[in-house]
Amino acid sequence: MSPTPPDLAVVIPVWNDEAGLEQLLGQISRLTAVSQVVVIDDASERPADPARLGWTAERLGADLIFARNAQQRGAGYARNRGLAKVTAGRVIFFDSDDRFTPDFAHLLAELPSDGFDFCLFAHADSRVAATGGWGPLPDDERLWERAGAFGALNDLPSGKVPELIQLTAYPWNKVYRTDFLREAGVRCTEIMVHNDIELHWMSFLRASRILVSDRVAAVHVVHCGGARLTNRNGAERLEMFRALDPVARAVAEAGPDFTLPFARFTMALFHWASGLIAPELRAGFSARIRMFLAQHLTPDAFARIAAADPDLAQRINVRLAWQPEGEPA
Amino acid sequence: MTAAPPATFTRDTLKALRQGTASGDILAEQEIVPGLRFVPDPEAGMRGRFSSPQGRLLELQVTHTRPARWLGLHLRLDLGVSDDIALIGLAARIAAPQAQAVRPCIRSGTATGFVDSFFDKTIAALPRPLLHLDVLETHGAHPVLHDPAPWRELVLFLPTDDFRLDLHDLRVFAA
Repeated sequence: MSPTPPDLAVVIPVWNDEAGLEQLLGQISRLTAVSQVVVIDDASERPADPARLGWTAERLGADLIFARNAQQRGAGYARNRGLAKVTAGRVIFFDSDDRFTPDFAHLLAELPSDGFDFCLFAHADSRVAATGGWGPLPDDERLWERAGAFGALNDLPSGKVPELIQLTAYPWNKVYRTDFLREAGVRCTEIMVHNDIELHWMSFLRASRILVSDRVAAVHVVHCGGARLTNRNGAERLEMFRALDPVARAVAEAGPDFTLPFARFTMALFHWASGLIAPELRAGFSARIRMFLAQHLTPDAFARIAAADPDLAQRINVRLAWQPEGEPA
Repeated sequence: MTAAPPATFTRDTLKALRQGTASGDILAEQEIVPGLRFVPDPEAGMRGRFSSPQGRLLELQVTHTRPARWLGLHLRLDLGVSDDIALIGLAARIAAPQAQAVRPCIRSGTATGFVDSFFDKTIAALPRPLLHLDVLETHGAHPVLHDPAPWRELVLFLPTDDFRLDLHDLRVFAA
């Protein structure tokens, strides 16, 4: 059997991370399955241009495209801009501080060139590695186990989609069939944070064939604190509803199997963001949550949630009953 | 001519499996690559499939029609005999969707049959792959390992009920 010709684009949004980009390009240069690299600099203070770092298509072993945003627009806009430039049949979004493991090459060697919509694989998180483990965060680990997603490469049965759709960490790291994203209109929300919620959920909801691999094909080094987008706690967090609204509508159309997973996901997100968001924004955030739940949660959906997870229903009710201080209930 | 280091053949067997993508039915006593075979209880009606993904050793799916007394995965060892060798070790990365136990031993051929030297620890196969490490001392509780033997094998005693199990990696070393 002759090896499949390289047919994978890596779209890399980068912001003020020249060193990370340099390391990642070094990794990619050793991956023979990569045919195209698209770097979108999101208005770094110093342009993160691969050419300035000494990278050429020849050195990379792949076509190299670079574009720079005139102003910072976030990773979602950068990913969408990068996707528009992709000519390869498959694409993966990979941040400049993400790292491939050796298993990524094995995964690509087995991945078909066509006939699937996306392939989900496992990640390692540096916070897990710091405790002597190797793999996803505990909550995601439990979802992998509940879904029985096991083995080097298999089809994900449709009945297991409601489990793995709840994965929260590194949702941009999937190998997509490029035309699936384009034909299904799946893209990132062009907001500063949470831009990947729509990409992740719409991918699962609109895919016909999902492949899943338990290979740990990427590792993520998490830096607590600092100016990374992940750590932002300002008004940009309130823009998450621009991502959640279209997903909520799609979930409602997808049927009752997704009601509970989406409720769990959103309530966990609200809880996490509430702890992060700046104190002066908390009342506004709570008001947006209440509005979101009131708008999207039908009585039927609430009844399903209450039957399956009464504690979650109770927490939703607390959110729905929230009133700003000084306002009579 | 210098003799090959201990376990050269064994390493080549495992390397061939790691680099290849073989798959097929598990057939009793038939080598799936040179030096590696399954030995089932002949009365248990074992049926199984194996596949070897890129970079991994084996994915196994096994059923039995009757309760099995054993199912062994046998790996031929070319450890040789040397006073310099004091330890025989194994490292295994293994996983299973439902928790399973795998018992490893070194089987040494004798004039009348064989002797099994079991490693102290049992390998736990859990949904997330774990690295298992263990060694046997050839000068300790298992003197048979220090004596010349016509042949030796590493035997992994696999679960005897129906199971799915993935052997991501296996390394054998002598030191």
